[in-house]
Amino acid sequence: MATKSHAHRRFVRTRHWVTSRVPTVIAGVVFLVLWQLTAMVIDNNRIFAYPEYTWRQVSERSDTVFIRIVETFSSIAVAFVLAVIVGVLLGVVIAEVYTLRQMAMPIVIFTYAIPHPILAPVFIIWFIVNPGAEIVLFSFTGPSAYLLDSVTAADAAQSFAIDGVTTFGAWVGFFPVFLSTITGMNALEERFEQLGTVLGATRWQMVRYFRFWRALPNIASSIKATVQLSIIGVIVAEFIASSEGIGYQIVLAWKGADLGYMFGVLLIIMMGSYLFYQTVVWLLKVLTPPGTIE
Amino acid sequence: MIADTLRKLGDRVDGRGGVRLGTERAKRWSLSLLGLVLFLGGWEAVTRGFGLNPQYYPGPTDVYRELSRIWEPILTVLPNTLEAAGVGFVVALVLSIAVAIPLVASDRLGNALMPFVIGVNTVPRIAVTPLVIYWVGFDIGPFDSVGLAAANYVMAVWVAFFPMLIAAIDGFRSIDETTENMLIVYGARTWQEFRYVRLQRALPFIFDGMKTGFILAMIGTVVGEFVSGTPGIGAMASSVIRRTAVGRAIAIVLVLGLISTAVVFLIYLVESRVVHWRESSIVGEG
Repeated sequence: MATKSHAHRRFVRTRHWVTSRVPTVIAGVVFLVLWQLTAMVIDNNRIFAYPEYTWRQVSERSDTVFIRIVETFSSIAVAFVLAVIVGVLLGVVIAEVYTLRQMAMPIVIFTYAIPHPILAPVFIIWFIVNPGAEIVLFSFTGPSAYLLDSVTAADAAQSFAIDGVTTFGAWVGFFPVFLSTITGMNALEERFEQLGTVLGATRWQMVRYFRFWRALPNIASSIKATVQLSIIGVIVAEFIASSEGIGYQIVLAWKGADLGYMFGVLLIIMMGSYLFYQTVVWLLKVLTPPGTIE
Repeated sequence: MIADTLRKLGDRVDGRGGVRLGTERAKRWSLSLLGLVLFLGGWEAVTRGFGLNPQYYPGPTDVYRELSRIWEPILTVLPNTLEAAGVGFVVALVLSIAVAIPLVASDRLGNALMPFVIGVNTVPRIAVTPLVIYWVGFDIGPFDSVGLAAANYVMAVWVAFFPMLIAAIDGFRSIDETTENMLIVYGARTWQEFRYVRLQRALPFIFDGMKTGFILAMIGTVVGEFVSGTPGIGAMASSVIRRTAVGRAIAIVLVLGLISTAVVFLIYLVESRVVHWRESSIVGEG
């Protein structure tokens, strides 16, 4: 009896999962059909690439694309983690120390209003003139070396590193986490303040046991914005300043007027960012206490 | 979220430190000023104290010297950037409101298109910059700089539009059930609904959207210039990389940062005039 209801529940859950994916699948099919139709109307691969042409151009260079996409998303991962860590730590300090918060305010508003791509050269140059400042956290042989015959281990040598691209990505992604940590820390309800006082909590204990947990839902929801911003930051940095990553491949495709390749690379970036975003949201759900994310 | 924080950044929040009432404001301002002075002073002291090479590690005075040196070239290219960002911003603003109204007025249309709007809003839109430049530059000739410059306008609209659209939709939708029932009882037509209720409700949201929208329009333009190299502040910044002139890069950041802070502040001033029933904040919802 018990096993039967268990199996039934699993069946219901699976059916729910499948039906909830139906709109996504339909949207994908509609997208492909529209793409094909538009291409047929224009009928010129130099103006609007056919899906089939895009596929061919990308699969011709699948090894490069594979290596570069792993490179880019390693950078994004580093940038994202850096942004979250620095954002939360600085946010806690600024939220706790009133004087510091007032002193930092004009600088925070100013740096927030800067259109951030203009800052990318500063980060890039700084690492050009300080080659020693680059910190390689972890080197690895990319998955392309294992999956594709044409890629040697040396080609696929990749790393998680703190360099110009990742620090800039972290900078761009940092603000939402930073600001929402401050908001959350200061939104602690009065009754908990009083409870802390009654229990004789020290300032550090207040932060550790009350304020931080009050801020967690704010931090979790801002992390979603940080994911997107770190992706943007890394791609912008790759555009302008390096021969690294998938961002540079788009620029290359543009310079070579290779529209099929450009379409393909863009699609891969969009899908990659979607997957990365969903992974982070899933991780947040798993790692944080229930109810942190609505 | 961000609006909230910055509103609170200005208030006495933590219920412990700080003084109340009249002296508080003065204290806040002087602390802010002190922070700025300490920051610049500390920066200058470090670069001087360690005798660092001003080309790689400029202090504030080096940045200022660099700024006065490149002031003329900045003035010649700045109008291009500001025009593209400004025009793009206004177009995106008008479009976002014009598109939001039918999406809110018709539930069916809204339900059908919202997933698309949210989907596009989550992908990194800035990544298509080379594609936009390619398409825009195509008709007029691939190396025509006038044609390429048009891409910066398109990028400004493209990057700024979706967040502003979502802000406008959220705003138009932000009416409570009681008001909604009242509208039904009165038999209000769709345009009356917007004219008398929804527009007013949406204004704070639209203003918040405008603040981020302007920064985004600047971002779109600057990245467009970075990639296409059309004369503008973005192209100027990217040319700095080859010379590894850190001071110049910071000087450019300073100019652009001051401009967008000023524009955001201007929007804030207009907002606090227009939306007099609600407290405004300097930086909108991000």
